[in-house]
Amino acid sequence: MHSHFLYMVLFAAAVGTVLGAMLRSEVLQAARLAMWITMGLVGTALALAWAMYFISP
Amino acid sequence: MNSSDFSAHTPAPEPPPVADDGTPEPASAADSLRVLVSCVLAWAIPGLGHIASGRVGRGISFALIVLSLFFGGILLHGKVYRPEPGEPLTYLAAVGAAGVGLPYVIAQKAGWNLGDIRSQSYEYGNTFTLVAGLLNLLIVLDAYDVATGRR
Repeated sequence: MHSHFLYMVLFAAAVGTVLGAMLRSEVLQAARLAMWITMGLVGTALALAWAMYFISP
Repeated sequence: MNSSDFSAHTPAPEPPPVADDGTPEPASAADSLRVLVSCVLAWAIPGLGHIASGRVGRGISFALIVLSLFFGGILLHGKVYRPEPGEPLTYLAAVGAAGVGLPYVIAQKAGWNLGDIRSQSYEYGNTFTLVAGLLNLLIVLDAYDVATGRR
């Protein structure tokens, strides 16, 4: 079974965690930034998906 | 717990040496070699550069994430890019994917690089393996900053 949404969330979480750990030195701040990056990536992907629905032929 | 490095026994990074007038002193040959080794280790095995610099927790975190992303991409039937004559963009993609270091070489030698274009997760796998390499290149830059005492 393939869950495209799960793959996207896993990808966003991995990228967010690495960037959060690199850009913040404190654990709490890094976790917070990682969460925001993850949510931003997933939210942007969903928004773009809906936008493409309206411009589809 | 030292929260600045995700590990219990992490020494604080030493500030770069400065001369009496406040200007940074030129790095010695030993320092340059240490920085070079740290960067090479960081490229070859994700996270190892940070571990070598004493940032054990952070290094293990990077290793787990990057290796999971790379081998997860292979398990999702993604391909590991390699240069293909006549397709210039594959050269860029290969440079990015090769950023993951030895796992890239292992995947190429073991024949795990082909992927399965018929799989529903093929494009996801491609993205995972490529981004794992790109993230590790960023981690190498971070390891450089750590080794030079900038972080």
